Amino acid sequence: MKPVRFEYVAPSSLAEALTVLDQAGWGGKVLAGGQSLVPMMNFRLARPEVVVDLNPLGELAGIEADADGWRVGAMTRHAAMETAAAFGALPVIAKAARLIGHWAIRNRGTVGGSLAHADPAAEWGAVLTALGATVDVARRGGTRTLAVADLIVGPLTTALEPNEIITAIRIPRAATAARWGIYEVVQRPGDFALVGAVARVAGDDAAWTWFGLGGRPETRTVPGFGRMGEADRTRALTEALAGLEPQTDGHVSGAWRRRVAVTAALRAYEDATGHHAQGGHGGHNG
Amino acid sequence: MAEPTIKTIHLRVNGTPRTVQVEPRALLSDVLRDEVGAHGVHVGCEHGVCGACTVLLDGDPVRSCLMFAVQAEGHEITTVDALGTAEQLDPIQEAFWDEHGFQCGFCTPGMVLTTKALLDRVPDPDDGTIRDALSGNLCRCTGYQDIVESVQRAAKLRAGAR
Repeated sequence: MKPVRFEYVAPSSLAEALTVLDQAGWGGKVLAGGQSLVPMMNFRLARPEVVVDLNPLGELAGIEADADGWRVGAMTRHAAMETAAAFGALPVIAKAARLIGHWAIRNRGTVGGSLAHADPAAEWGAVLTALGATVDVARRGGTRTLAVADLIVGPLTTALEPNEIITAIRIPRAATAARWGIYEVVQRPGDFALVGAVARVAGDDAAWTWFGLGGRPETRTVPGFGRMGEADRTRALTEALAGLEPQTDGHVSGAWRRRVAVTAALRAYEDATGHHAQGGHGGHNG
Repeated sequence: MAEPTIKTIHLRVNGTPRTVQVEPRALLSDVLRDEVGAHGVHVGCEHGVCGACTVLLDGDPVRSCLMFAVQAEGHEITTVDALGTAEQLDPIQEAFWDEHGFQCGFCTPGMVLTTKALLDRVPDPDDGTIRDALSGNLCRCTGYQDIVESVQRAAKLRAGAR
């Protein structure tokens, strides 16, 4: 399959990109890394009339750190997140980046693009929700800020208007006060997560942001988790998941997701508290 | 129906400047094959899963089926066609030959280019590093073991061993 004909715009400034997008309305689409959009266009599942390519805008990529936290340009590639020295104090970032797809995907895919696409199995949506990150959003004539938790509203659905572009992601320095872990379950390394969890550990309290459940990332807290024995931990996590509705799809059932989400949470907790050397993925042999 | 918009773009492929005329929707993979004649770029899945279309963009492996040719302007593209000749194989190609790292050859350009990108960064990768780096390149013939051994042999050949 080949894409449907479209008008391509390589803007020379963010302002130009925003103007074109504003004029294109629902027929316009931003092209970031293209690792999700272009497959959809190749299969004609997406048929934008106007494609606005953000790749020429170098100012939209890059990582800055200061006392308040990190500012990640929306066009920053997953590969850059994997190796950035700036995230030394937050190793969950590199762990999450390493779990994304394969090397070639990470060389083009972007953090902003991942958030805007809002795949339920995506790592960044869950990690950045858990970290309390916000996004800077621009449109012609204005900007706004929203929490990542509020940005992603459902599967492949965000709170963005058609004329809006995510320009940056901000991660608060306060996130370093907690310990973080991540674990996802896949059939093969690099596959989309069947289910995954990001663990936030502060003292005896813990919270998890689950992904791969089929909708938006979901966060639940279990106070006192660290003091619980193994049986109580499993019970507490099962109860935490009780109100959620993991989806059944072509890969696995919702019931499987619900059951394995508990395992993912336990392993993410172990990752956060140092029982494993790095965030993991596991399948038949993991 | 309106005439399609044709853009003139300037690519650098395997060190050579190429000027081509393409519709915006033309994929880099197709333009490299059809306009530039780089038939070492293979088109498999067209949705970024198989890796047969792998090229190096400024030295980094990317899926050429997930880029529009118009996006490649200003970048350095390397295809497997740049590596070696029939008379003098590149050490990576020689290693794949020695270790039987290919059968039908469809995945091989992607394997070879990803190997080149890996060895350019990690000259002596271990088994796990090789498998991780090549995880995005699928092979239906070999079962991968001979590919891993080809990469290990390529590392040795590049380091000057015989």
